[in-house]
Parts: sequence; C-alpha cells; structure tokens
Amino acid sequence: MISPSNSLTEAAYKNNLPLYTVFELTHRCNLKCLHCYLIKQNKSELNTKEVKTILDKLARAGCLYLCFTGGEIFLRKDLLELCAYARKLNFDLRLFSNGTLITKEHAKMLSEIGLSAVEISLYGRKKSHEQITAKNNSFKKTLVALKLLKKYKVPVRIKAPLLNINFNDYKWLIKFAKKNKFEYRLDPVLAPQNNGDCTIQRFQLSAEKLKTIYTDKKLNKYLINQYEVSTDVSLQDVPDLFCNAGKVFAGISPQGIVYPCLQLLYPLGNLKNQSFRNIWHKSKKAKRLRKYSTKDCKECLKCSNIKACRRCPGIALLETGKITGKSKTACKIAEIQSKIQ
Amino acid sequence: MLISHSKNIAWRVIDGKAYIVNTGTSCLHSLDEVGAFIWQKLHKKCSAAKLVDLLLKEYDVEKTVAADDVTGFISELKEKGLIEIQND
Repeated sequence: MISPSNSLTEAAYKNNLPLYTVFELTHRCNLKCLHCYLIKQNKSELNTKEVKTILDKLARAGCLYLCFTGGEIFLRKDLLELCAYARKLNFDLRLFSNGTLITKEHAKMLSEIGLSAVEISLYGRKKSHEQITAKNNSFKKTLVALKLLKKYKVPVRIKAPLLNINFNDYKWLIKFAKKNKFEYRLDPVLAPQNNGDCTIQRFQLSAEKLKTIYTDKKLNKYLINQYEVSTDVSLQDVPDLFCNAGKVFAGISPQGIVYPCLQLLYPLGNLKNQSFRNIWHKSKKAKRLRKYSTKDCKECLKCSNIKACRRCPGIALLETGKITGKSKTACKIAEIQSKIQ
Repeated sequence: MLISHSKNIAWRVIDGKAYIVNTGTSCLHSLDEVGAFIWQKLHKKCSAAKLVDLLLKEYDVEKTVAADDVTGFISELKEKGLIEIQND
C-alpha cells in the first residue's frame, strides 16, 4: 500500500501543486551576516492585507507546508497576526529567524498558534557567531530566544551554514543541539548573492574541510553520500540535475513575486495583480521551466562526477547566467563526494 | 460528545483525499474519499450521530454500517491525535 507521503508527493507532482512554499515576508534585517545572499534594497513590502490575500490563494492552490522567512521576520509588527492567519488556513507553518528579537510574549503566542518549528540561525560559539553576524551581543540574544522557545515548548531546529569561520564550531553545535533536544541542520553550500556576486564564496570550506563534513556520520544523513557513485555514466541512471523548484516548490518575495524557489530567481509573475493559477499553471515561463531535464545540461553530461552531483539550478543560474549551466559550487562538492565513495 | 479537529494539525484535500499532518509529531496521515468527507465536517464541532446522518445523506449505506464506520473512524483519528473529543 502506498504511504501517505508518497501518495501526497504523487498527487502534488501530477497536479503541479505548490505543496512547499517559502514566503519571504521582508528583506529587512537587524544583522549583517557575512554569507547573506540578499541585496539591500528599499522596495516596499506587501502589507498585512496583501499577505493574507496571498495566503488565501496559496491555500486554495494546495500548498500545505509553508515557511515564513526574511530578512528577519520579527521586524514585521504583524508577524504573529500573519502566523495565526496561516494556521487558521490549516498550513503546516515553519519560521526562519535569527532569534534576536524573540520575546517571552512571542514564544508564548507561537506556542498557542502551533508551529511545526522555528528554525533559528546559530553559527557556533560566541566568537564565530558574532564574527558572522557582525553584531555584538547577538549570540546572547539568540540563546535567550532558544531558551524561551524551549520553555514554551515551541519545536526548534538550529540551522547554520558551515563557513571557514565556524567550521571548528560544528561539533559544538551538534552537541548543543543534542543537549537541548533541538533538531539541527548544517549545510556547507553557500549561495552567491542574488545579483550573482560570488565573493561570498570566499567563505566556503576548503576541499579538505568539506571532506571532513561529508564523512562525519554525526551530521545529518542528507549531507552524506546522497547518491551512489559509479564510473558508468549513462543518462538513465544519473540523478535528476533539476529539483522540485517550480514543480511542487514555490518561493514568494516580499513584493509578491512568485519564483520556482527563492534560490532560483526566475520570476513567474506577481500575486499582487495576478491569480496564482495564471502564474503557476498557465504562464509560459512556468511551463518552460518544468520541461528542463538532465539532458539539457550538456556540459554536465560529460562530467565523470555526474552521479554525485547535487546541482542547484538556482545557483547555476546565478553563477553562469544559465539555468542549465555548470555550477562551480556543485562541481567542487561532487568531486569530493566521488572521492569519498 | 462533540468532535472537532485537534489544534496541532495542518491539512489539505487533494484529489479527493485528505492529507493531515500532526504538527506535534510531523506525522502525515491520509484519508480516502469517505474519510475526507467526514474530516471536512469536523472543521466545526460535530456529534457522531450528526456524522452518521451526513454519511447517510451522501452515500448509499445502511445506518448500522455507517454508525459502526463512524465509531471506528473516530477512534482511529483520536489515536493519531488528529481530533479532540468534548463531552456535551
């Protein structure tokens, strides 16, 4: 018998439902993290009513798993109102935050609203954390938020990108998460900035450090040897070099622009003046995107590491200007993964 | 006895089936078409007798069979933490 999860995935693919949607409520932030991919802009944000209207549209379109992210979402005064509204619409709701603005009242309210998790960015011990956030005292504030969320039984996941700055803290992060019974997710992949500037990648781990990460069994399973590697490269058994973006995954910007994913900056339309149905199901761009397949990545097909490739089409687009381009970030990781096998 | 959805759930009906997440456990459950029909009625507090009546109106089924099905269904949903039951 088919599991509920497989049945839902099958139905979502068949109907191209935006089952998973990440909604950026703001680009404003009170920290200046070194690895942040957002570009400072002074564009106006959707107001409360506009966000609610979009949530109505998403619920009708079949989105079940919703995530609010930023920027720092607690800078929005209407955040709790929006969370409560989303839960009324029966979304499974998750929040991404740096935690520095979370108060006791927020934690209490979030507990009542019923979230599936608040994911808090914690980069390591004080020194590394504040070197990355570029803000004194941010470590303490984030720890206070973690304690409050734990106290009020709000599920927490700690998440951090692994940079050459906090590499030596990753074991501490795991220990800290386990001690507090928090989930954790550490990721060594750094995305270029949204304007294609790749200078952030100077913080990327060296090949040697990446190898350490990928061979550490304590780290999340998804990071380690995701694909079996073979030297026999034939198209039918290589991984899909495209992802769920634009198929069952959607991203929405603070201005209402719909993307296949917030990492894949290929705008499909704007929910302020278009219906979700017209953007997602009828637009030529969305249809074109869904037609891309591994065979369109001509350069990658020649690569001996293709079976270990975890290519992100969005990063490829930012790095090369082409959605089918060869991503340097993915190449580096695939090479290491291949050697580990 | 009044039955309604639990607080910590998220759900959608897709292609006639109901998919329900228990957000406390992250477990995903699915209900077939008849289950999805009853599930949607539990959006507001509802008695078991009312559910049986609604089933009889919608489907060609014997009353005793419908009553047994509703009892079993409620017990299953309760066990999975998807509903709350209040005494009148």
